[in-house]
Amino acid sequence: MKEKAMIGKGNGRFIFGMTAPTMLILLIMTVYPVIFTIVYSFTDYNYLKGIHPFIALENYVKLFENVYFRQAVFNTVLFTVLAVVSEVFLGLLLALYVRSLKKRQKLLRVLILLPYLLPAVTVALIWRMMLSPNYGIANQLLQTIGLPVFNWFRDPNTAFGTILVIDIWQNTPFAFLLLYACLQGVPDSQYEAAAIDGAGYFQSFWHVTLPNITGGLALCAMLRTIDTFRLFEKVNILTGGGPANTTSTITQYMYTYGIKTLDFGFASACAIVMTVFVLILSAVYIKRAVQS
Amino acid sequence: MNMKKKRLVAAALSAAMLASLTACGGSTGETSQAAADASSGGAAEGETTKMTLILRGGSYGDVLKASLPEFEAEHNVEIEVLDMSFDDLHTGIALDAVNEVGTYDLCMVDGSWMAEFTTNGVLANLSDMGYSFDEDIIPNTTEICKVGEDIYLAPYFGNVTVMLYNKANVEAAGYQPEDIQTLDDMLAVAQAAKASGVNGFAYRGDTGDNIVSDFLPILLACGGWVVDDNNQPTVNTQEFKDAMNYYMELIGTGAAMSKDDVTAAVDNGSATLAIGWPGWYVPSADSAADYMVSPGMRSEGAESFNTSEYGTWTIGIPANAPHPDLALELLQYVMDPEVQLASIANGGVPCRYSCLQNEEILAEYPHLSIVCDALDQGVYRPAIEEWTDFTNILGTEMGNIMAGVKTVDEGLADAQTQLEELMQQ
Amino acid sequence: MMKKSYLMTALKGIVGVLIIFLVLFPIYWLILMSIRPMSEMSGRISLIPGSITLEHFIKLFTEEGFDVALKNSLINSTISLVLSLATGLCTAYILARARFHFGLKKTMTKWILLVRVLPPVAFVIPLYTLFTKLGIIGTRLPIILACILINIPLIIWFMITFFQDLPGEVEESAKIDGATEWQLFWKIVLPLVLPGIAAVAMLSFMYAWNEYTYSVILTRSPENYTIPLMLSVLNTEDNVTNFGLVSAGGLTSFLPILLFVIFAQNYLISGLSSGAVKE
Repeated sequence: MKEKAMIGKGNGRFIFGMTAPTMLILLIMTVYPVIFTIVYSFTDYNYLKGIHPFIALENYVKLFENVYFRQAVFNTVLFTVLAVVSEVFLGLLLALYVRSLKKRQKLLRVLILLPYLLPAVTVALIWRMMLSPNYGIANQLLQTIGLPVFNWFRDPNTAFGTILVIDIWQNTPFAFLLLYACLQGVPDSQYEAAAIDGAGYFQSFWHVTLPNITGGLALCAMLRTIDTFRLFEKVNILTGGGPANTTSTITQYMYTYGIKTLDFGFASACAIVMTVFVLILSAVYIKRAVQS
Repeated sequence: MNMKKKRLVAAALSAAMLASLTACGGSTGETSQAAADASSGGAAEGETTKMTLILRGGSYGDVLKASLPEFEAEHNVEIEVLDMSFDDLHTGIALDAVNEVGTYDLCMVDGSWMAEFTTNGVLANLSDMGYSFDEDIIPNTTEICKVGEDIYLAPYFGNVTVMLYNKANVEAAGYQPEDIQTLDDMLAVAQAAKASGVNGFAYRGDTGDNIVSDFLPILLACGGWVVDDNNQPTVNTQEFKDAMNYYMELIGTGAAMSKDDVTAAVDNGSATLAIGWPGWYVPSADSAADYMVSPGMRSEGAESFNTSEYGTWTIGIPANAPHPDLALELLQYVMDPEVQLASIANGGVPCRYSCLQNEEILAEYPHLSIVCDALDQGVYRPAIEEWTDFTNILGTEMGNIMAGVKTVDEGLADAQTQLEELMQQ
Repeated sequence: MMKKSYLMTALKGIVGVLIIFLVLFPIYWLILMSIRPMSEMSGRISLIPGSITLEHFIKLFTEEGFDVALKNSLINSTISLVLSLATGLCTAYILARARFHFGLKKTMTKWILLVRVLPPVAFVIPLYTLFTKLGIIGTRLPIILACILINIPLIIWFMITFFQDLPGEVEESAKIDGATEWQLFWKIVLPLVLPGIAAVAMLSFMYAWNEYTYSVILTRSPENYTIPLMLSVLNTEDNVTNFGLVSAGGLTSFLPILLFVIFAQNYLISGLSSGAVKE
């Protein structure tokens, strides 16, 4: 006890030295933007005009009354739920599969990881080339088996699904990587014990694997939710939010109606609303992280 | 993990740190050098001045870049060019505009930003600086460049919508290209193509801006326009509805695509007609596709309108340009008839009669005569400050109509209400 | 029994081939487009190119200035990685150890996690005005700072768990032997969490390497162009896109990270499994 008290004493300078640089950077780079965004969200701030009359909650009212915005919120939430569930599920299957291999685990896990390493711009480009109605391989395939050419990104019925598939293709590897690492941490002794008890593959998965990786699954879902919620680049390059708003997301909306038009007051209000959304989504996680 | 591996990683990390430190030193050296160059402002004789231009990436900017080396040598300047995509160019110019001394000496401006930029003092008044247009420049193209008599921009790259068509498909439909005079003819060709199993009309259906751009030539031919003389929205008029109903029939013969696919489809014959920009396609005598001025009449015997929509890239000098005098010289230099004539070889399209009607040039680039006609009768998109928002709203509602989510009446009524609200603010 | 396991192996093989096909075919397509001559890019495109060319790569580096972008991306990503590691690791250590306590510790932890969650689009305009006021907008500094802003919270969030997993006894005994706090951290604690550092370094490098939203607003000079910016200019011009060129660019941008991952994959996996995913 005495030892610990000794250690605790007089390390104020050390604490300060270790945290000051981070604090300085984060203070400058987050406090100013946050205040800026909050203040301007209550004003009619157009960047070029340089004036910002106070208009109280008008931006927020306008935002919530706007049907495009509501549609964007709906799209974003739906997209996030579908993408995260599929990515975590597929990632888990992949991880279980690779873990079960006796040979070539190393090779396979690098190969599977590749899509995640590509920048969003390149991913969008690849799929645009593959799905093009004129020179895309996907449509050539359809034609070969006698089906008509299909316009994946321009048909309101398929545009959303197509972007979803692309997102799943790119991000499932991340879920795979995390969950694979997770599976490495499950002690072999537990599997042996289950085997002695006569448990089959599914039973031991249910009673041994799953309980050991719930934390990993939750974390994985959390991280993917945060990232998917701000989906922007792929949509902006591939569909620009069209056709008929079926692929517009909150960030895409904010970009089109706030940043592009230089209405930074409106953009700020949009940013605040979005932040609140993300905060609600991640509140559970942050709470847990702080407690531990 | 064994010690050896640990050491390796530690070594790698420290190497990376070292590398970054040296790199960091190098870069700060460079920037302070740049700052020194800028502050000298070319005052001292024999010292190189550094100018920065912000241009539209791709062929528009490339053409201008190609004429720079000579100017650099003559005036002892070093010119840097920032290539931007359409939206980023707009944001880039605007963001820099509020600074006291700006970064850019010359910027490329789309006509539709003109009103927003001049009301907010982004651009320098070129007339005050001593610039004036000569007779040779196609007069219609300069319309957007002025506020009253004051010149703010100069038309650099003549860009105007044309109608792309696939030669074989048009012929198969029983038409000669020069016979397509009215919107009815256009529809007939498209429907005949559709009946024979290929797409009739290909169009872009993604962002609001693209949807509106592709549609405006049709609207013009129907005698409608997006705003009236007082810049009040007129998207729920009889003409607009007529044009929209016609357009629905027209797009029913084809499919929405990205611009690369539109061009490829017309070229390979899987689509027959499209509204596009000359920059998309360079036709030749034996190419599969060509372009023409889009029809100006609704039907036979109806009034004929100018239907070519300008997308001309103009150049201007920011009001806060660091080297305004040099910038003016540069602007005059790249607008010079000789320099512009030479730029054609690099893909340029000058807005000058002397260039576009030059016999030698036309012998080599016959399609420029169509571009010249189109430029002569072009129409600029309305000069209103809210144009970006305007296209967002109109494009979205049109997208809803085209996707079948709303009827023509509903969509246009909704667009009109929102646009009125926008213009009142 | 023998027969059943034989069947299992065959089935697993088929599944493996299928997975590899789904994962790699798009990347194969990218490679293909980057080495295919322009003449083979219209109409029906064959699965195997008729001839192979390096023209796109050559044009990329000689005409488009991709070498400058590559150099910039390398410099920016490395500097931001090193700086965020240096500051982030220190802070994570303090936050993870209960023996360092100070008034605002909880607030600070929450706040750092919050930064990780906020959308970058919300920050970019205020940061632009901030950097303009500071007079550093023409340099590469803003982009480096933006990458640091993205990566510090990631590193701290990630490393806290690693430090917490280390048994406190090691530090206490070293302390009794007379080591200062700094020596303790630098010589004893850090080497023990190296796998974690490798894993988080890879992720941070990747985020910085692919960063676009901040770069496009904060770059004000062509000599500071990074690879994602070049790619987006090549990708969205109004003229017909040169697919060969953009594919070559996309592929080039991918190689450095690929090398990084191949070399660091053991650290990556062991790092992830021993730290962040444990709850």
